[in-house]
Amino acid sequence: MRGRLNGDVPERTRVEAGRKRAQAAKRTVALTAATGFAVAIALVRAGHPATATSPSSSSGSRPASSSSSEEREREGTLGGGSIAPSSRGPAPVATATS
Amino acid sequence: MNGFDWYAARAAGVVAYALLTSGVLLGVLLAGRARLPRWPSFAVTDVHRFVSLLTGVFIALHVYALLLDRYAHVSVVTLVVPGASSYRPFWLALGTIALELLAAVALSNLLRKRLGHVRWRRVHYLTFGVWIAATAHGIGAGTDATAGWLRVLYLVSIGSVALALTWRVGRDAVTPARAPARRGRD
Repeated sequence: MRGRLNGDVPERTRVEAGRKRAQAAKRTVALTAATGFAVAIALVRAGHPATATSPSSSSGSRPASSSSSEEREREGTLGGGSIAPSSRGPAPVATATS
Repeated sequence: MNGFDWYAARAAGVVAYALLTSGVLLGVLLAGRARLPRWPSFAVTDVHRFVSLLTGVFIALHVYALLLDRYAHVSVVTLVVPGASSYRPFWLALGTIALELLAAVALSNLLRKRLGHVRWRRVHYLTFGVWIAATAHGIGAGTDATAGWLRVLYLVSIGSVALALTWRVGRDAVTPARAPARRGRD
């Protein structure tokens, strides 16, 4: 604490150095804020469901919701729906036993 | 450029929140009389003021872009009267309250000499209210609040402010004898 009050560096130099550091920090803050604003716009735009271009999809012109239909299509080709129980009513086994 | 004002409003809100958090952190460091190597307190104060001004600029941009946007239906009345909005009224009301509290803090900065240090400092504590209301407003009203990058921003902001406050309270608890001497000077 005392070293800070009576250091080897003259007071004027210390004040000047502090001013320069503050100026540099303010410039950095302003630049970071401006860059952050541009990046945030890009992120917000990319995350919007109505945005025409989706960064994750291979075809850039499709809306974000099309990816789920692509998944459904892929599931169909793999036969993912074949294990689902039938919804057509009672099984014909009952008539066979009578 | 379709919908640019809507994107600009949200992006400006996010940047304003990040700047507000930085301003709060610098303020806590200054109030706790933290000793930063090679950083005299006047330099930290200078940066703190600049960050606060820049926060105001981005809040103004956030509000202006919302007023321009046709989708959000934000009017001057909605900006001034908490809960007047039909869209997420509670969360937007928190934004209005944060804005009004921040205006009070800014006014107290302008009238600092007239108010005196003790009163000015009391008003300045409202900044915590501004920060809490802004956090809740961003999480509750922000349409991007569930996005991963924003979750990280909120977590880092809440964590850093909580840590800074813990440090500040702990510092006061360790050195209670300094408080009356300082109060005497004020």
